[in-house]
Parts: sequence; C-alpha cells; structure tokens
Amino acid sequence: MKNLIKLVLLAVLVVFVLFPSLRTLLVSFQTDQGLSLLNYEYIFKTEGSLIAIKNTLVMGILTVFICGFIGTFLAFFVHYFDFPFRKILDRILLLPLVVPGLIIVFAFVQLYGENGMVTKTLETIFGLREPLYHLSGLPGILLVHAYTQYIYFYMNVSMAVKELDKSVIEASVNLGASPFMVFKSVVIPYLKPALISSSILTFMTGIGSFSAPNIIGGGYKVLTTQILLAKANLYMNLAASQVVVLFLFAMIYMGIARHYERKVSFTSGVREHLIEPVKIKSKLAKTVMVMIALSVIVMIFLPIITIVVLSFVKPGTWMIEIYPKEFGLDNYIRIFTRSRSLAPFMNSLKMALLAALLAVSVAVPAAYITTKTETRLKPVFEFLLMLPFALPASAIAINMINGFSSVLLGKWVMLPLAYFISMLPMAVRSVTISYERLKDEYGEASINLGAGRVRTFMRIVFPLIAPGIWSGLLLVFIRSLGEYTISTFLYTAGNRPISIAMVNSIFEFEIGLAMAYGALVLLLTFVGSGLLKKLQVYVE
Amino acid sequence: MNNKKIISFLLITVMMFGIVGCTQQEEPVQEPTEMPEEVVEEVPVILEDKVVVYSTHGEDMIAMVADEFEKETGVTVEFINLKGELSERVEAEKDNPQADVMFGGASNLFMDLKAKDVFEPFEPEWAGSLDPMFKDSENYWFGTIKTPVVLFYNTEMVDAEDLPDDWIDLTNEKYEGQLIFRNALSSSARVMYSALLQQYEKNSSLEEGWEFMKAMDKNTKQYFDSGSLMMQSIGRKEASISFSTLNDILDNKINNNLPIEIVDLESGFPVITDGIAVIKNAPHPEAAKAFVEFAGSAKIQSMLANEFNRMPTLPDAYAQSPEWMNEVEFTVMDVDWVDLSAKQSEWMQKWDTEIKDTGKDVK
Repeated sequence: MKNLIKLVLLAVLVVFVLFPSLRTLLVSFQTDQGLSLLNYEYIFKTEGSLIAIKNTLVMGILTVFICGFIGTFLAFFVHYFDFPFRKILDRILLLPLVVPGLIIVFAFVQLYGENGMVTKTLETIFGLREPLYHLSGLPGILLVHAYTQYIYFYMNVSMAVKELDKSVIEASVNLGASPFMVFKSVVIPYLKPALISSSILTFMTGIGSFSAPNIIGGGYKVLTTQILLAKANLYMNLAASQVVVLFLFAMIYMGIARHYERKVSFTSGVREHLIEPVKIKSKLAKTVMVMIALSVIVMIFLPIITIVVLSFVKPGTWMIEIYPKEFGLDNYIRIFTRSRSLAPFMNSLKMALLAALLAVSVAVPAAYITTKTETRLKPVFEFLLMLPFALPASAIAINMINGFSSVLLGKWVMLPLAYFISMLPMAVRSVTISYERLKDEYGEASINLGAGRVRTFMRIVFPLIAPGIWSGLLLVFIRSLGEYTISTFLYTAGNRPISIAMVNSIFEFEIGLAMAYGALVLLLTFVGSGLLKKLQVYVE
Repeated sequence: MNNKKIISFLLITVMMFGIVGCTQQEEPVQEPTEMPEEVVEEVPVILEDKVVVYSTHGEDMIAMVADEFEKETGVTVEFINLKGELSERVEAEKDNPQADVMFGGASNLFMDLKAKDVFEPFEPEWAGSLDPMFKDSENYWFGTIKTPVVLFYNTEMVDAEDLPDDWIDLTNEKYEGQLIFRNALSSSARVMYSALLQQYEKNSSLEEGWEFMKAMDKNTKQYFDSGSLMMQSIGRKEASISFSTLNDILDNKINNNLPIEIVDLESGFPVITDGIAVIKNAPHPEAAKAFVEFAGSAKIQSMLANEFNRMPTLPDAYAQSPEWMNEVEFTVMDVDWVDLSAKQSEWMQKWDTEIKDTGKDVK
C-alpha cells in the first residue's frame, strides 16, 4: 500500500513537474540545424536580448537592496522597540503577501501613474505643467517591488530580532562598545543567516517578476516580458532558452549566497535571555515612532482603499476630472447580472478550487513520505516537490506549453493544472509543518489498541494534520484566484480568468469594472487569510 | 468534535463544486429552427455547441453580437478581445487552431493572413450585395464595418483658424507638444502611419515620407498604448490634437461629453474595412459559418450602426443607420490596400525602432 502510494506520487511528480521542465530544456537546444547552442548564442549576442538580461539582473539586485533595507528597518522598528500600535502594524505588514501583484500594480497606476490621482494632485498644488515623476521603467517597477517584496526580509529578520541574545548585547555595552559597534559586531552576525536566505527569495521573485514590468515597465525590457514576446511570436525555442537562462540566474545567485552563508554561519550558546522590546521613554521619540507607524499603515492601505473606492465609480463618468465624482453599485450589478461579466469571476473560483484540491491531494502523501518515512528516494521527492518553487511563473507556463500542448492546448484544465504545479511547494510546506508536529506515538498507540490503518488515519492522523491541509488549501486558493503571469501565457477563450478580465477592462477604460473585479478578489483574499489566521490559533 | 464535522462537510462541498466545475458540456446543440415541409432536400446543418471568436472589437459590442447569436441559434459564443495581438495569435495557432472566427481587424490584416493560408473560404448569403471593394474576390474574408480614421481636436484648446489644413501642417512648430497619438500596437494607428507613407511613396518619395514622420514625431508629446487613456489625456487638455477611429471620437463626444470635433484635411483619411473570416480547420466549422453569416448580416450591421456608431458596408444596412452617417463629411484618402498590406509590417518595424522617440511612450 505504502509502496503503491509512493509509486503513484512519483509518477504524478515526474509527469507534471520533471517531464515538462526537461522538455523545456530539450526545446531550448532545438534549432533549425538540429540540437545546438544557437538559441543561447542569440540570447547572449543580440543587443536587445543582452539589454533585457542586464535589466533583469539590475532589477533583481536593486530589488534585493531596496527590499532588504525596507524589510530590515521595519523588522527592527516593530520588534526591537515598544510603542503603541506595534502589534497591529506587525499584522498589517504581512498584508502585501496575499494581495495579488496585478491589483497592486493597477492601484499604483491609478495613484501615481501619468494621470494618477496623487500625481495630478501634486501637479495642481505646485502648478506644474509636467508630472513630477513617471511611474514607468525601472523606478516604477522598483516602487512596486518595494511595496510587495519587502515581506521576506521582514519576516525572516523579525524572527532573528526576536531571538537576539540580550546578555551578549548587555555584555558588550558594559565592555564599552558604542551602539554602532554593538550593531556591527553583535547584532549583524545574528541577522546574517536571515538576511541571506531572504535575499535569495527576494532575488528569485525579483527577476521572475512579470506584472510590474509588463504593465508599467514601458521600454524597460526584462527576461520575463521577452519570454512572453517570444512565445507570442511563436519562437518557442527562444522562449525555452530564455526560461533556462532565468532559472540559471536564480540558481547561481542561490549558490553564491549559500556558499557565503556557510562561511558566516555560527552557533551561539543557549539563548536564555531573549530581548524584550525596548521601551521608548522620550515623548518626542515616541511621537516620531507613532508617526512612522501611521504613515506605513497609510502607505499599505492606500492602494487597497483605492481599489475599493474606484470599484464604485459609475461607468463613463470619469474622463475629464482628476477625481471621480459619481459613485454607485453599477459595476457590481453588471458583474452579477450579466453572465459574460460574471464568467471570469466564476471561472477563476473554479480554477483556484481545482488547483487547491490538486495541490493538497498531492501534498498530503508527499509530506508524509518526506517527513515520516525513510526511503532512498526521499531526496528525489524533495527535489521534485521544491523544483516548481525555483521556477518563475513564466517558466512554469512555458513548461506547460512544451510538455502538454499536444494534448491540452486550448483545454480548460491547462490553467488550473499550471496553477497547481506552481503552487505545490506552498501546499507541501504547510502540510509538512503539521506532520512534523504529529508524534508517531499517537498512530502507534492507536494501532496497538486495535484500530486499523485506515481508521487510525481518519480518526487520529487526519484531525491532527487537518489545519495544515486547510491552510495549504486556502493559500493555494488565494494565490490562484488573482494569478496573472501564468494566466497571460495560457488563457484561452474558454477559461479567461479574472486577472485577464481586469486587464481587458482597463484597456476598454472600464476602470470601475476592473477595480470591482479587483475588489472581489481582495474580499475573498481577506476572508481567506482571516481563516488562515484562525487556523493558526487552532493549531496552537 | 464539532470542528471535525464542519471541516469534513466543507471538504465534501468544495470537492463537489470542483468536480462540477471541471465537467464541460460537449453535446452538439441542434439548430432550433423548424424546417418547413417543402424544403426536404436540404439536410439541416447541425451546429456545434459553441463557437470561439477572436476579436479586436470592444467588449460591449462583441458581447451584444454574441448574445444575439446565442438567442437565435442556441450556440454558445466564447470570445476574447485580443486588440493588436489578434493576427499574431491567429497565425501562431495555424497548425492547431483554437478559434473558429476572426472578427475585426483591418482588411490588410485579412489579406496578409489569407496569403498565409489561415482562412477557409465561405460565402454568406449577404455577400452578393456587398461592393467588391469590401470583400475578398475568392470569398476568404468580408468587410462588415467601415472605419474612417480621422483627425480631431479639443475645441476648448484650439481656435478654428489655428487648425491644420493638411497633414504636413502638423510638423509646424506651433503644434509642438500638442499632438498625441497611438503607438504601433494600435491597428488603426498602423494603418494611418503606413497610409501616410504610402501617399509619399506614390506622390513624391518614400524618403520624404520618413522625413515627414520624423518631423511629426518631434511635435508629438506622447504615444499611448491605450486609446481610452489617450482620449482621457485630450479631455484633460494635456494635448489638443490626435487621431482616432470616427466611432471612438463620436462615442467620446456623445457619451463622455468630451469637447472634441473632427478636422478634415486635404489629403484625407484612410477608411479601414473591418473584416470577418472563418478560420481554416476551425474546431467548430459549422457554427463558425453560421456566426459569419449572422455577424455580417444587414440586421447586425444596422444594429452596430445604431448602438456603436459603426458604419455598415451593406447598402441595406445603411438605410437604417443614424443620419450622421449619411451627412458626415471628410475626404477619403486613396489607399492601395494590397500594397499597404505588403509593406506595413516592414514600415512599422522601422518606424518603431528608428523614427519614433521611445521616450514618448506611455504605458
């Protein structure tokens, strides 16, 4: 039985994860003259392509620095000091993790774009003829990244800050070290592992980013948008080799970072004296801290509020003025009364549900095998389960085309399958955590007491890992609902998702309608993450 | 353990929803028309259950045609609006077509694609009364909408005496920063730019044409990806002169109350023919033909004329169209569409890379 499950699981992973990736690798070497390196030569020799590569790396590295700075600052701000609102701020700072990138980009365009409300307001206030800034190209992309991707640094550094050893800090202060010295010689070494692993994650999401470069990138070409271009022009071999190059960049960065990490890693003694948040005594400092906290909260909520407010703008009423004036429920009425407007929403719901169910049904046995059994194949499983994580969404989409276009091209199921593959690692992780908490003794006891294996699983194991399953299900569902990159590559007339409907509405200048779609996704996202929070409480 | 019960109940409902979601109906739908007894010799055509349409038309317009078609035939219409990517997508899927009908796009795109063998010839009943200039001689495609692309201006920003008389006037320095246009992704803009180049090639030299384009680029403030954003920019007085399709101009003037008017120019404006065609090896060939028959009919042409200001190609449809369509006056540019179709890609590639100042792109 166990072997059968292993076999089936291995087959599923090989078919859906390994095979399409290998196909892409093969396709990347196919040229008119048989297998050769010509595609790669083209990528590294053509000027336009070289610019895209350079741009991609610049974008990735700058994203790491900017997000590293913001994330680390916020982590210290929230966890090192004690001031009002810090608990709420901590939770709010995690919000951009669940809001779909596409929605953020559109909110930014409405606020800071050429005709954005903030841009126009500043123009009016200062009586300018030209906008103060342009939300396009690299700066625009980086602004969006700063907003959405500081989260890895924030989460990892927060954890490290909480584990700082108070006694060491106090000792060095007593020995006469200046605050700067303390920071440099005591605090930084503690943070280094967190900084390095966050920088890997941030770099990978940075170079794989698609929504921002595609929508506001303008002339700033990067690999992900070039891949779409190559695919649209039917140069699948070129697209495949661009995917491989993108993947290699991620791997090289990871290799370098890991190497460096090994050099700096150190184990500290027993940490008995965890730091407590430093109480701020000076009134002035306290005010400043609260001001910073409030402005961070405003920054985070502004795009979300923008989406919600604009979703109520009456169609056709917002052409000349800077701010919309007429509001109503028209856009929502349209979505829920016209079947064609409702279709993308319902379709995204179905696809996200299917993707979530598939991901969980693979994750449950997979996490079991990697945590609870000893098998020689374990590294193989681990590799296959984590491979999609290292692949940017555009790579997953190209893999799908290379792997399954002969059977599945134009079929409805292509999109949910792609969502499932790309989000499988997320589901596996959340189920794995539950398994790790599950003590083997429970199951053994149940079996010793005479319950069968099935009964043991249903009555003992399942209830204990259920929270992990649920959070995996919710996470995949939330992320699939507003997914944009994979959708752009793979959607057809029969499975147009909500993200594409949003983009279409923007192009038709149905801003209100687009925002109403966005607001619906946000609503479901927030309900979902609310449930996730409840689950965490239930687990603890 | 109430929680467990709730969880398992939810899981079951979720799974059922998921399964229902995956099943798609594939049974063919019979055309719900009752055959009169005399017409026995004609075997009733069985239409497939759906038809997939790739289009450049606006969501509202294509949805209206689709809904009417569904009402009449019971065939589900699935469509996507691909704008400037339409012809590439149709061509890309040539070996494995995903769509049945290409609806919309300028006639030169259709000529291009016909040469690439992506269409299936089919003659609808109404084709007989169509002027030969609006259709393919071998029935590969038909024009169902006439789309003039004309110059317009914000009446609150430019006085009548300051208006240009001809295209060349737009290179005058008094228009510097006053012009905004669409970029080469817009099919109407592609036609406009290429038609202008063609005029130069015909009347003087192509070289002069490029010089003119370069001079006009100098006066251009911005190039837009989206027609609506461009209109918004004119509405907000960020620039005063632009060109667009006549229906778009009227739509914004009437429905969005923009203070805009068209300007006639001496060398005139190209009138694009928007076409429709059945795609070769379409997955739903019968439904595709039925859709073309329907979407090009006089009934639908006049409906689009009245609802969306789209000028019909069929004389029958003209009779029931809004009055302005008979009254509107502008000079028609003499465009050689076959020649244009052959040269457009190359010219636009050059314009995009060598002529246009990419710093003026708005995303």
